[in-house]
Amino acid sequence: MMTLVELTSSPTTAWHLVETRDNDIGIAERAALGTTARVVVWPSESLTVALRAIDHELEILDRQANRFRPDSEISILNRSQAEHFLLSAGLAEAIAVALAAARWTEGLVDPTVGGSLVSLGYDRDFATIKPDGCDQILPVPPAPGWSSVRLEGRLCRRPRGVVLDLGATAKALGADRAAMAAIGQLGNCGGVLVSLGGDIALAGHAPVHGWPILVVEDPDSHPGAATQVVRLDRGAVATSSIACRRWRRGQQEHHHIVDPRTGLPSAGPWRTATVAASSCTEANAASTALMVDGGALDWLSRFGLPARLVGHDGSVYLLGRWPEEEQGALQVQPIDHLGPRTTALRGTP
Amino acid sequence: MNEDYRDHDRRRLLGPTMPEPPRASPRESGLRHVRRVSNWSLAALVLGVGTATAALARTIPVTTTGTVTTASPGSVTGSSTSTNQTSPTLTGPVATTSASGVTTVVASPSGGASSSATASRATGNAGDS
Repeated sequence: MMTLVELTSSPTTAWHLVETRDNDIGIAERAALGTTARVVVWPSESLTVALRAIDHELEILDRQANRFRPDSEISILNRSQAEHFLLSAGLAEAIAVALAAARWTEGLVDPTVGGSLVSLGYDRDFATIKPDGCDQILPVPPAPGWSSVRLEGRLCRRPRGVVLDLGATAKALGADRAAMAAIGQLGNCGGVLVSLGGDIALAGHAPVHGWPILVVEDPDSHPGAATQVVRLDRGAVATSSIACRRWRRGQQEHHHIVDPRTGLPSAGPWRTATVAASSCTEANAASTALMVDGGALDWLSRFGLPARLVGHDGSVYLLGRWPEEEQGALQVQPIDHLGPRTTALRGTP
Repeated sequence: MNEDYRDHDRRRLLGPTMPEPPRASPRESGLRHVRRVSNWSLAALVLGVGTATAALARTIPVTTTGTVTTASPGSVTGSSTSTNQTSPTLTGPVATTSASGVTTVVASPSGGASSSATASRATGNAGDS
């Protein structure tokens, strides 16, 4: 039914072909960045070229921004006692995007929550965290604040002891980078969809009526949750949720979305938030902000981004132009709300 | 099917189980509550998509150099470039928004055509959402 595409010698980067009833497209998946990467390409014969380009982008991002990879650039930065760093262009871009997201969301999405996450027990690869671990709970500090980090080009100033975590933006940035890299390799012919753990970026030309995307929560934790198929012809869609990545410390259950104002897992009214925007980075920043503070609805409404929200009881709410009907068109405006960045968002790292 | 909120008391959302929408607003920018359809019906939809995908699976030969070709009837084959191709019309979902990771396909390490698609949660670290 499916075979393995050996693009490299590393088993962790082997792509699995995914079967589809649509013969004009090629689909492949593999593990990446601690989640699953899915690539959909039309025409189908472009798949191999696209995967090679995406492999390159994902490997670079992993080496730059993976907090749990000891030899990554950000791990070295976080361990360092220095305050000034000359970053690679790629990590500089990733941090610039994280700071832009913090500014745009008025601090609800903050890359300085790393210390809080470590104190909560999210200090290692999530796969190695014991879900019911009884480790001692450390005092959890609020995030120092994104404005304490300065970035001028590739020069970064980070106060000693501030642990950066780009989890709220790096995966989405990876999807944006990967999609653009793939379509670039394809000469802007055809279309590409890149999904990193459900954060989806598009590039090139969409299929007729758009890419059909199933909006769904984690099927393991919420098997009966409401679903919807929407069609996206450009831009991106991203989801933040507390339905997954949960663990226990002591008597308390934690999840990975931290409110930077308290340093504790967010306690907003939503279980899952999905937002569509012009870029995956922007969509993910918005969805995370909604998860951190339910009051961010007012904030998001100002930008007109469509959103689909799921309450803790499973109730579904739609915001803006999110379609109500099945197979409805999800339309986004080509406006970059994150503003200019130090390097081109989709440039070569 | 759907209903608009008509809450004129503008308050911020308060508790974990009390999502309070903003005050009444135009349909274009307001929050709309979607009444839920039967969970069983929706679960059947998800299951149906997976089942149909597996049932329609086809064999895809892969060369040792990693070049992917398709051999299914009606598929796009040959060396034509996409320049002259028109956009396809897709019939079913090609990706999901599940924040824990999309459905993962377990493939036969030997490259054979014997394995079946299963869902598994992706775990890891670098990208949280």
